[in-house]
Formats: sequence, C-alpha cells, structure tokens
Amino acid sequence: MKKLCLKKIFILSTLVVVLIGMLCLGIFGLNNSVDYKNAYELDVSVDIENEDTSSIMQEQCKKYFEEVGINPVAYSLIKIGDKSVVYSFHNDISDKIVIEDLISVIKEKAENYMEFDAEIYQTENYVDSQTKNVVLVMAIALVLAFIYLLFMEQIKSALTTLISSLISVLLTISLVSITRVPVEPVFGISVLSSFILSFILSGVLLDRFKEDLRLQEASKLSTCEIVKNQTKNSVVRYIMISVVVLITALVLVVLGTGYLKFLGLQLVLVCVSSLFTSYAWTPMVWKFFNGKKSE
Amino acid sequence: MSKAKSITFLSILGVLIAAFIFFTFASFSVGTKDYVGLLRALDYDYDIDGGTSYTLTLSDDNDESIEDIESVSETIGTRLSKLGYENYSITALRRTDKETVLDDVSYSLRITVKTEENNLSDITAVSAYGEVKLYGGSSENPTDEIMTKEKAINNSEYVGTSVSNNQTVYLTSIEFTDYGYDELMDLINNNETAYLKIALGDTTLFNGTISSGGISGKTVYMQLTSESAAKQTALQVSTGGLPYKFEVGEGLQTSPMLGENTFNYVWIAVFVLFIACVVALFIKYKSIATVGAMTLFFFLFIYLWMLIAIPGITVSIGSILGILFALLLAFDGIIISFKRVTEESEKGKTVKSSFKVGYKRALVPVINSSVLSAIVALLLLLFTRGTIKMFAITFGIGIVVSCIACLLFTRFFTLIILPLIKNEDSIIAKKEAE
Repeated sequence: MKKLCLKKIFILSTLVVVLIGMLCLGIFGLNNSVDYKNAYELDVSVDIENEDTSSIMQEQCKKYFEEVGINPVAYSLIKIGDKSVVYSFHNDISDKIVIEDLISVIKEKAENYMEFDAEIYQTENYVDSQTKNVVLVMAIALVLAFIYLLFMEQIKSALTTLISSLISVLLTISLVSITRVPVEPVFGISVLSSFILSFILSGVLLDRFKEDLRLQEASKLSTCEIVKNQTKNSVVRYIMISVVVLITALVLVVLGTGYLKFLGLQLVLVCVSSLFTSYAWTPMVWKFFNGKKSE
Repeated sequence: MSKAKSITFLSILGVLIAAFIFFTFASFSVGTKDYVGLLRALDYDYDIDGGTSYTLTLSDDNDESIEDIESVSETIGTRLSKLGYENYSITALRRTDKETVLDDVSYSLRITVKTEENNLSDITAVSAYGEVKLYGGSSENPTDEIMTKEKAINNSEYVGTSVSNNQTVYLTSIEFTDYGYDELMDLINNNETAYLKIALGDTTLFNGTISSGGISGKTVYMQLTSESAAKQTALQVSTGGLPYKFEVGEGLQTSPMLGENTFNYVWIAVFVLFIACVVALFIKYKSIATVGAMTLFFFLFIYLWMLIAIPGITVSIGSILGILFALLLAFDGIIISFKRVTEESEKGKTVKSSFKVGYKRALVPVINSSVLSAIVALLLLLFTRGTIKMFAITFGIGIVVSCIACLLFTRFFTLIILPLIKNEDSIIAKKEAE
C-alpha cells in the first residue's frame, strides 16, 4: 500500500508539474529576461573620458531608476569605454525615463564642466553566435546513447535510461516555465545538463540492478526487493551530489549579478529534476520492463 | 608499496600541490606574456572578461534606407563566423526620438566580440560595402568592368601558408566559374599573362598579373602577407559586400556581458564546488576520503593546465559550466568507487582486497558515464557553435581527465596512502550496526 502510494505520488507530481509547466510555456512562453529583440536601450554618455565619471554615472542612474520604480533586476548594463554606460531593458521605458531628469540626477554628483547625454534606442534585431539546434543535437545524442547502451546493457535498461532522461528534460523545462526563472544566457546548456546528469545517475543505478539480478537466484531476492535495496543504497549518493550542486548554485545566486544569478537558479532546477527522475522514475520504469518476479 | 616509497611520493605530491596553489595566485611569465595567477593564463571570452565593441553607423551617402536590418545583421553574423569568431553579438538599434521622421529611420549596429588584434580589420571586412567587380587592362590603366554577363567567381577560400622568396606568404584561392574561366583565358590569350584587378566597392582586393601557368584547374592563388588579410580577402571575394554603406567607429572596451566581477564569481563557484565535494567525501567516507580529495585535487590541477596548454581554447560561461560538470562527473566517479569498496569491505574482505575488487566493480559504471557524456560532448562540438560549443570542448576534456582520475589516480593514491596507515581497518568507514 505504501509502495503504491509512493508510486502514485511520483507519477502524479510529475504529471502535474509537466502539465502546469507546458501550460505556462504555451501561455507565457519562457522568461527571456532581457530579451534583446523588441527591447530598449538607454545609452548614457559623458564628453570626457574618466573612469571615476563612469562609476558616478552608474551610481546616479541606479538611484534614478529606483526613484522612478525600475527594479534592478529589470535591466542589465555594460560599460563601453570610459564614456558610456549602456542599460538594456526588457520593456518600453521611454515613458518612465525622462532624459532631462536623469541627467540632472547624474550632475548632482559630477563636476560642473562635464556634459552628459542620454539616448533611448529600440533594439530592432539581435543576432548572436548561439546555436539554435540544441533539440536536434539532443535527439541525435539520444539515438547514439541508446545504441551504445544496447551494446553494453539490455534493451530494457537502455529504454529505462532514455525514458528517465527525457522525463528529466521535460521536468527541467516545466520547472523553468513555472518558476519564471530567466533563461538567458545558457538555457540550452541547462537542458543538456539535465539530460546528461539524469543519464549518468540512472545508468549507475541500473548497473546496480543488473548486478543484483545476476545474483538473484543465489540471493533469492525479488525484483521489487532489488529495486528497493539499490534505490535506498543510492540515496546517499543523490544527497551528496544535490548538496554540492546546491551549495555551488547558492554561491552564484548570492554573489552574482543578473545573469549569474539566473544561472545559479537554473542549476538548482537541473539538479532537482535530474535527481528526482533518477530516484523516482528510473526504478519504476525498470521494474515495469522487468515485470514482477516472485514477490 | 613500502612506507619509504609512500613518503617519497607524498612529498613530491606535496610539492606539486604547493606549486599549484602558488601559481594560482602568483605572477609569472610565459614567453613574452605576463600572467597574474594561473587562472589568468586562460583565454577568456567577452562574456566573462569583457571585449571590444564597434558601432557601425549608416553612412549619409547611402542611396536608400535600410528595409531589412535583420538580414544585414544575419549576414554580418555569418561572415564573422566564417572569419573564425565563435562568440559574438550584433545589436541593431534605432533611435526612438519623437522628432525622427518615419521615412528616415536611422539604424546603428553594435558588434561586440572578444578583443583580438585583427578586430578592426575583420569588422571592416565583414561590413564592407559594394559588389565584387573585376577589371583588366593594366595597373596604370585598368579597363572598365569585365566579366559582367554572368557570375564569374564561384568561391574563394583561405588555403594556408607557403614559402616564397624565403618569406612566409598566406594563400587565398579564387575559383572561377566556367564563364569566368573562359573570360580569363580570353584575357590572357596569346600574351601568356594578363592583368586582373578584383575590387569590392572602392577597395582593391586583388591586383596583379596572372599567367596561364599560374592557373590550376579554374583556380587562381593570391599571396598575402598576413593570415587575417588572406581570410578577409577570401571572405569578401566569396560573399561580396553589404548593400548599405556603414562607417565603422573605433573599438571601445566593454565590461563583461555577464556583469562586473564575473571572472571572480565563476571561479569562486568552481572552487566552492571542489571544497564542497571534498567535505562531503570526508563526512561520508572518513579516512578513505583522503584518496578522494587528492584525486579531485589532481583532477582539477591537470584539467586547468590542459585548458591552458591546448591551443585555441577560449573560456566563456559555457566553458565554466563544462568545468563544473566535469568536476561533478569526477566526484560521482569517486563516490561510485568508494561505495563499491565499502560494500566489499562489509562482506568481510581484507582492506587491500576490498579496494582491488571495489575499484574493479566501479570500472564499468564509470566508463559508461564517461562514454555517454563523451557522445553528447562530441555531438555538441560538431553541430553547435558559440557558448554551447565551448561547453562541449571543456566538458569533453574534463570527461577524459575525470575518467583517468577515477580509474587511475584513485588506485595510485590508495597505494601511496595504505602503507602509511597503522590500523588499515580504520580507513574504510563501515555501516554502523543497526
């Protein structure tokens, strides 16, 4: 009864998360944080090149943004040379920002002889070198990994690993959609990492099942008992991996600004989905394929 | 292994560890370059260490306004990739002044790349204006444009280096179409040589004499004085210029795209992961964790040196993620090995036998994990670019090093540590009786 309840909880919780996640994805899409297309830029510049002036501009701009109600998370900035600071915004800020007011706030701390200028631009297009065909690569990786596992393991183990990894990827995408964690700049890598991590964790667990299956006659253990024992044995490994990843993610979230924070949050979600899938789904799927032998 | 040998090896390892820690923070020179710390010896991309930004503004003497800025950005991006830029960003900007007349939209493009010597010439090459035109006659008196009826040039590529008059020259090939080749042969005719000029807008790309003997198949080879010039010329001849004229502004240093102090934060994250792994090993496995800690340390040591030594590796945020996951893979491999060793010990085997059988049992799962990860890394390397490709490169190298670390270093360090332990049974933390 207890086993059945746990199984139902795992399946139900996964289904609920994936369903809500896909719904969020369909309605809201992914959170692109500072989406460079259809975004806005504010270029603030000074006529004299001076490193200190650049710091003053940043400090005063931040003060002005707070005054007009623009959250620090809503923009990213880069310094260009020592005369310009460029702020990128996701939404239209041309109504919130009054250039004259911004410049007078900057001049509160700057020298009188300095002349400041600010211009608002709309980003018409953004192109970068990032590849878009991560899904294709993952599909090819899935096929090749499946072929490799067929050579090394039974087809049931290979199928189990693949299904677990796919569920892990789905869960990662769903969790990112639900939590609205911004996906820039490395979402493709996060999805792939979820795939790889789940693959590795499931693979090792299945190796344990295989070992015990070989000794099944001598040990007189049923398939259920093999799964239960080995899953229990793997808990410590899962805890160790999750703790170290979470600590690292925490460092990025606490120390980092902007994108690094998002990266840390994505790492947390990748860790949670991969570990949950390996712990909950891998044994279930493997047991399903191997049937119930002498309970 | 005898106790004396163990102590000798440990001393050598101790010196290596000290050297590693020293070089991580000390300044040193390699050739003509000075580095502040080992981590600074790595080559960083613009998202971590800042880069150079170039602003392209539309020239006033353009005949028409831009209607398809996306296509212009994509074209520039493709050309940058052809010149070997793995990571770049191109932002097309339009001023939102209320006074701007709708028919006279003014665009500017901002290109951000990793800082290199050839940035300005490369950006100038990819944003060059005009069409490729060919001329005959002579250098003092070139004719009007020739080969105008059809496409004359099929392709142009950077070939490599050659030695001419004891000097290294860089070769670019120009492959003519059938039409172009026939026209060229007519030009040469009975004179055996002919003057040919290839220009892109106002810029001369090729200007010299071609002999019938100098044509291989339908291909002519140009000699240039630098690799960057040869690649730029090949690009411009093969793709032509943009339909709009841009003026390239001076390059300006930009701060890291991921925020100030990104360099410090990402490396703090790597070292926190390392420390967390070591502490987790000691909490769970007690004395045996010394082997694990040393394995992880030397994994990181060799990994970082390989990233420095292997040419062409640029570290971006994707690379840092590759390093993190490679470290995690090594950590997982060590846990797998130690778990097997502990199980063998609980069956009543001797310590040495437990290690031997445990490591042997761990071989297959560790290799499986590494092979599967390597498959993904290889595919990413072949089919992706940008940050993901960089992730693939560093992760791929990390997979190899972690596999070696988990399979070899653990055994080696166990051999060193065991003779020094008085009570060998205490080295393996066993399950407490329930």
